[in-house]
Amino acid sequence: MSWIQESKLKWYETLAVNVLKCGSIPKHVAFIMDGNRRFANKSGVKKIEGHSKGFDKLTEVLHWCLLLGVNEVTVYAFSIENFRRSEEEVDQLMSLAREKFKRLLEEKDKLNEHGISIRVIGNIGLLPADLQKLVVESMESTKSNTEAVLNIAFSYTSREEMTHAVREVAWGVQEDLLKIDDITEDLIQKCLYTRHSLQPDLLIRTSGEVRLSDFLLWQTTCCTLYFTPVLWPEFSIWDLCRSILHYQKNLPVLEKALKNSCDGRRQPISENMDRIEKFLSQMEVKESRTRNQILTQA
Amino acid sequence: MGILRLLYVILHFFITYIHNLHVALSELVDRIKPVIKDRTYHWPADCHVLLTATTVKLGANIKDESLLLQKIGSELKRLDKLPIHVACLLTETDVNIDRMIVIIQWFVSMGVYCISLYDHEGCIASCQDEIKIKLKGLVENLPNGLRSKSIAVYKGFVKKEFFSSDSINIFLMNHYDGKSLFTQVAQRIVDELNYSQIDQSVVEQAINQFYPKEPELMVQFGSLLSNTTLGYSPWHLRLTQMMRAPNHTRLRVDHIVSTMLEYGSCQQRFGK
Repeated sequence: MSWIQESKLKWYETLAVNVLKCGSIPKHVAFIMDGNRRFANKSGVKKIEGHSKGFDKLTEVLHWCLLLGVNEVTVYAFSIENFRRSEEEVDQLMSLAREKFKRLLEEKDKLNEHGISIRVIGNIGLLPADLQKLVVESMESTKSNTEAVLNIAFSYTSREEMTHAVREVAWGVQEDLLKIDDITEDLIQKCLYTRHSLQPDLLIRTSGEVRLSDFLLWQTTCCTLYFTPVLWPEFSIWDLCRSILHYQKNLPVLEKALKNSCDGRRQPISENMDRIEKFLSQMEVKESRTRNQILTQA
Repeated sequence: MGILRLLYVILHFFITYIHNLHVALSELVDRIKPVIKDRTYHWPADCHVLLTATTVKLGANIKDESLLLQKIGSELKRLDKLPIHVACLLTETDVNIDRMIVIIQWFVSMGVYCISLYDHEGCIASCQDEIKIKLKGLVENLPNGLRSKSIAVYKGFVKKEFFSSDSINIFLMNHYDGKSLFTQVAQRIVDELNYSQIDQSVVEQAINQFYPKEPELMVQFGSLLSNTTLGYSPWHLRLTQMMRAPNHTRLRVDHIVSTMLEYGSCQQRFGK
């Protein structure tokens, strides 16, 4: 199935979308797409078929988000903890990923036409080499798009991300680009995989589990977390609308509870800003070099 | 187009209003008739007996709360489903300390000896002295076996050496105990180690020097319709089950029981 869905909504669905747009729409929504295996069990199909249906649902949901005016979506596709599953299941998931990323590259013109940028966040060094190359190619071929962003968390855990940020900062200190006192919450945030994104406004987890499971822990401190018992492959546009309605109703109370909003705190302007800017640009250069290495390896 | 837009705005107001009514009605029903959410599909067979007994007991004015709570706590412990650390997240702006003390008493009666009280602004943390005094009074109301336990009240995270696992530990936290703990730990790690030596186990070890450790359960009090973490230390929330309870000023013991039983029926797969 294609990455870009262009199916039209029914008239009452369009009505619901337009009504919701009268309220505040989250700019960035994160999804924990849980319940594929339970869906497969329920339907009497193989687990990998459940995951495949999960991907189809993802493309549908992305289409609905675009219609609603949500510009950025982050999805939890594969956790580092999922490597602990059976070798057979992991291999099947990797094959599914290869198939989908290859399809993405085939459709890159369509993606560019819609202005969608794909970013893969996570420790991609843990993936098989050929998949790493596909992932980097996908990112490179869509990086100049600015209309919408899809972040795919693949081989990701939040703790690994935070550890990676500490490592980057340590590299900066070792290379004399930073001083220890420069290490602040803000700097750590700028070293995370999600540094080019806004923080999510709404996080939706399906299948009834009520935890974050090591997903975007740092980024969801001011976020509305919506847990729904629906299984991911059965997630409907009405479930999405309901979650956005919850977000809209939560927003004033949440803002009141936060008062000095988590991210609104102004960072003091100090003479180390130049040093930090230089470190951040060096870090991007290092990242770029790594990606080029992945692209050029056989 | 103007008329259509007006229609949408009216409909938006309507659905918001209907939703508000629905929420108010659920709260009203809840006040009249306590309900234990029946997530029994995860429970072993003999627990159905406990669940039925609890529902019956709660419906009929609990006389001996602490005995009931003890029973539930020991049953959960038997199933390895009693959280070691419960985080209480307060979203309300006015904090009623006496009510919080009662809630702490309920948790302690069940066997939870590590409780963190968190609110974003720090209202709870600023009442540390008042809480300390009132908690001393709590010891007398505890079941027999627990009266000899000491109660320690800390502000923010504490280092291992100042922490005793034998006492009842209450932590008062606000948003300065969130990301800033991680930042401090990061500064220490960067100061002591080479970047190639830093991996997840190093960071975990450094953070585990501080107590409390990860909460297994986070209970959010207040009228928010969805969950939120309000800046609680992100590192610690990796696998925390997040549940909601009504405003702490009108919280009843059956709400806590309901939350604990629901926690007990959650299954962790740890990625597998």
